[in-house]
Amino acid sequence: MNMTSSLIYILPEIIILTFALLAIIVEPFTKLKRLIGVLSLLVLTLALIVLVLSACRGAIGGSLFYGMLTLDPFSIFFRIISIITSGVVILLSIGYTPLHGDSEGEYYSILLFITIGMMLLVSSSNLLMIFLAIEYVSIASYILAGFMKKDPKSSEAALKYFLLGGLSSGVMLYGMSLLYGWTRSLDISEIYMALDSGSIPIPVIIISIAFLLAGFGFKLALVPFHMWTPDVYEGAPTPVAAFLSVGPKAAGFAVLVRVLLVGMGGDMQSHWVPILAGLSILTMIVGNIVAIAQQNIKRLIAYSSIAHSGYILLGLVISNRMGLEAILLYLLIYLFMNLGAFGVVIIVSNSIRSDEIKDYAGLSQRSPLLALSLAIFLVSLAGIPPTAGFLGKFYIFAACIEAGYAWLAVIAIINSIVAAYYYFKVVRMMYLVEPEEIGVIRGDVGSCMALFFTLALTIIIGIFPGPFVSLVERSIHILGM
Amino acid sequence: MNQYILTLITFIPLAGALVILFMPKEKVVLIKVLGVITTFICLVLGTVLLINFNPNNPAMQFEQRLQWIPQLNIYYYMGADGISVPMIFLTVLISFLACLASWGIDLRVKEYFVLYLLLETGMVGAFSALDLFLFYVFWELMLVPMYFLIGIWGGPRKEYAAIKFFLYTLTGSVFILLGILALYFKSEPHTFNMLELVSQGNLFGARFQWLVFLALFLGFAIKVPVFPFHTWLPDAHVEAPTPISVILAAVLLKFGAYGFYRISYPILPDAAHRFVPWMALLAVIGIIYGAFVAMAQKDIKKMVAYSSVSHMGFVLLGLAAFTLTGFNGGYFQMFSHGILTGGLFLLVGVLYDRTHTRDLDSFGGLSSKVPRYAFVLTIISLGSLGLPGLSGFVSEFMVFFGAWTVLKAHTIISVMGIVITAGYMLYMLQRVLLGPLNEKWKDIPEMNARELITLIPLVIITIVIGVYPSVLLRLINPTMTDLIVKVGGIMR
Repeated sequence: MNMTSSLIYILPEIIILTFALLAIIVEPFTKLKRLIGVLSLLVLTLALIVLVLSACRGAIGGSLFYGMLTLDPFSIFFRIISIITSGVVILLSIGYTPLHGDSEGEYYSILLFITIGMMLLVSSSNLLMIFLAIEYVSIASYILAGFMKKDPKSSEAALKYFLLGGLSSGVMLYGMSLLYGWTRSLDISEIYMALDSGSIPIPVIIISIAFLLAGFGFKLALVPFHMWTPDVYEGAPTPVAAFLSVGPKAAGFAVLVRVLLVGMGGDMQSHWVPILAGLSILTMIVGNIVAIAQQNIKRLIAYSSIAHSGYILLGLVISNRMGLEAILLYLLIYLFMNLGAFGVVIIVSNSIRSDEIKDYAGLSQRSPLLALSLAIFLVSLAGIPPTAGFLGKFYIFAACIEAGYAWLAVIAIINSIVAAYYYFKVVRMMYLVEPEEIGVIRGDVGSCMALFFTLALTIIIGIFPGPFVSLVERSIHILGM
Repeated sequence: MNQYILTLITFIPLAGALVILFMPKEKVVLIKVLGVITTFICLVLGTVLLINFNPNNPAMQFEQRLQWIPQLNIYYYMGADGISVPMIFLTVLISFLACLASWGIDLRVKEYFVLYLLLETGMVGAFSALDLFLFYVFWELMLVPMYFLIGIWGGPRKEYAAIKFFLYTLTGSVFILLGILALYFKSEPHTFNMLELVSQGNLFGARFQWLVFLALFLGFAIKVPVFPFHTWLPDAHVEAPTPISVILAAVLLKFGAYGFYRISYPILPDAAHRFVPWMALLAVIGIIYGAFVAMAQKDIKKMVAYSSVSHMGFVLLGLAAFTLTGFNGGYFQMFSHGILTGGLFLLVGVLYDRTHTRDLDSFGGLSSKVPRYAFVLTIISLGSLGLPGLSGFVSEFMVFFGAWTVLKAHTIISVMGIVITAGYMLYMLQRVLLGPLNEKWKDIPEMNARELITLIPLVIITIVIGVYPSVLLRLINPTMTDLIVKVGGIMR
């Protein structure tokens, strides 16, 4: 499709972009900075409605902008995930006091810009477009990580994130240039055809895959490219950490799935499946083991999010139908449970100015509902029924067993037991230990709404998974596969 | 009614829990009353279930089947036969009695009853579920409330005991999940339906059966508990508050054995046959080892806890026998152990509430001060050591009878277990009730009405099924006969 006829299909992106630009212009002249946040939320809702309506009316197949972007159920699913993530994060940010100040309005605009970046990233089917979208998301993420300019930890996080991120982008770009040099194309479908013709030496394929994976591995926080994660999560403003743990990760998985399955599917799978399996095992094990020792809840969630990347990656290692469904379902569920857990962390840190796990002592008596919510999110992250997290794990294990990789399932299962141990360390603090201080902790309206929304979905998906599973089943159609 | 009764018994506690959740936490008495009423309604419904159950029909009854996750062919499928009905009744009975025994809880009452009722939902649900996925969800639903119930209201080492219980059980259950998934993908068409899997069972290859059996065995063995997976049990039982120890011993341990009767044996009969030598060996080790360790205990609660390891060994021996009498006996032992050990833990709780010690050597001569207590403790202990006329004798006799022809050596050694059991039970009675009165307890109050109400039903049941075992056997025999045919055991 050409430029003009493609535009209508990216109407949601255009809506968000228009508002974000307006907000940037208006922001210096208004005192009502928080209003921008509320309006951003409305705009995201509008974009979501437009997106869902157009998907329902059948606008779900084809390539846009001369093959730069792809419109398929898979990309629509991830665009929806991007919008929901940003929406929940904005709800969580509105009441987060450390962000309040002169530049609060910019914060919401940058979040909107990242949202557009993620939406483009998940639709990209051209290496150049992929690289640009990744850089777009990354650069905005660096800014957000360092948004609390006066906080040295936040600045350190941003710098560390930027330096390592820049390096990994370079490595990834090198991998892409190798592919381009040998296949003379940037389009992943054409790359597949070139690779499949057998004219390209195997070492070149493997080296370019390795470079690409190093780049993606950084964005997805896969071990051994995960070093930035805990420091960035700890230093960044908590809503940003929440966002980074879900949004860019989901988008990164989407593009990884597309590149590997469309660009290097078929016989080429044998080149990357073993690498990916190794990465996945390493990621699960390191993430979970290091998480045990954490004393800071943000670092704990950071390592746990690394481990979750490992589980999700298993779906790609299997990459049959069930494996793909597992990836999508897991990311959808992970979005709600992880943002929810961060929501409680935000409310608590707003009130007691601490992220140390020991300060969660007796939370169940200070604030029963908050403690109950966090307990449910953690139980869900641990993958215990009847919460949604169980369904995600169930799909991953099921995919492994179906494909005959029972040993991978055993490794994942042992990891999930370790994970249950450290999640329950927090639960223990909240319920089994007496509080040192008394005083009720209350959340603001925005965070409470976000909490209610994520909690409701964490429970509903766990008990009535049918509609969500069928959504996922319909969304695994990737164009060109 | 029949179609919905299992769903009602399962979810009424959940409804009760939700109501309590929205009550102000200061209304302690109201919350307790509501808890007791909820469990009582379940007991009434459980009795209705028992009456409406047609024991001569080995097929599933009270079936309810609703589509749950159509994409994976998962159903909300509840039903009960002779294997589940007595267990469901035991669950609702013990839940009611232990709820009465929870009257003394005065710390964080609201949370306690919410979790307690949630636990009951999980237990009844797991005994009624006929879809493996549903079974697993209920199975895990028991885990989290139990963690809190031990961890918040337990004894001095409650946190250690709670997390140990949690991690052990979770480890077991994830292996069960693996087994369930393997069965699902091997079956054609893919199904989690236990009955369909039973009918497809002979299509599974020997190696596949063996692996799945081992995965399931690990999960069930931890729950039973089978030596050497039993180490969580003494900690959990000792640290848990009295009502929770009762639930743990009387109901939760039964899930392991229930899993063999309901899942492992009928679906994987070949592997079960091959596993017989191991099963028999572990049974004997459990019986003898548990009994010896129980004998060495100074803490009366720990003694009862280890006696569970020993008594559950008889269930395994019955299962290993692969004869009708053995299966019936093992099941009878499950029920009888539920009644007797539940009773023992209640009695230990009564004593502890008055004396705040569980040290066996610190009592003595209590029978003269608390004759009613002494009477009940004696009956229950004698039942537990297998005195003829009480339920323990019937089950142990049946197990030995069933196992004798096939596992002679094992049976002979296991009989020794009875002697040791008699030894530690009588020794316990002697140290607590007989001898000169310890002056410290000269003002010890007699059991009150509430405590008597919790114990008398158990005494009656143990005498009734001890004197006239067919009350229970009548319910289970047709289903067990059916099971023996399915697994190719000996019809004797």
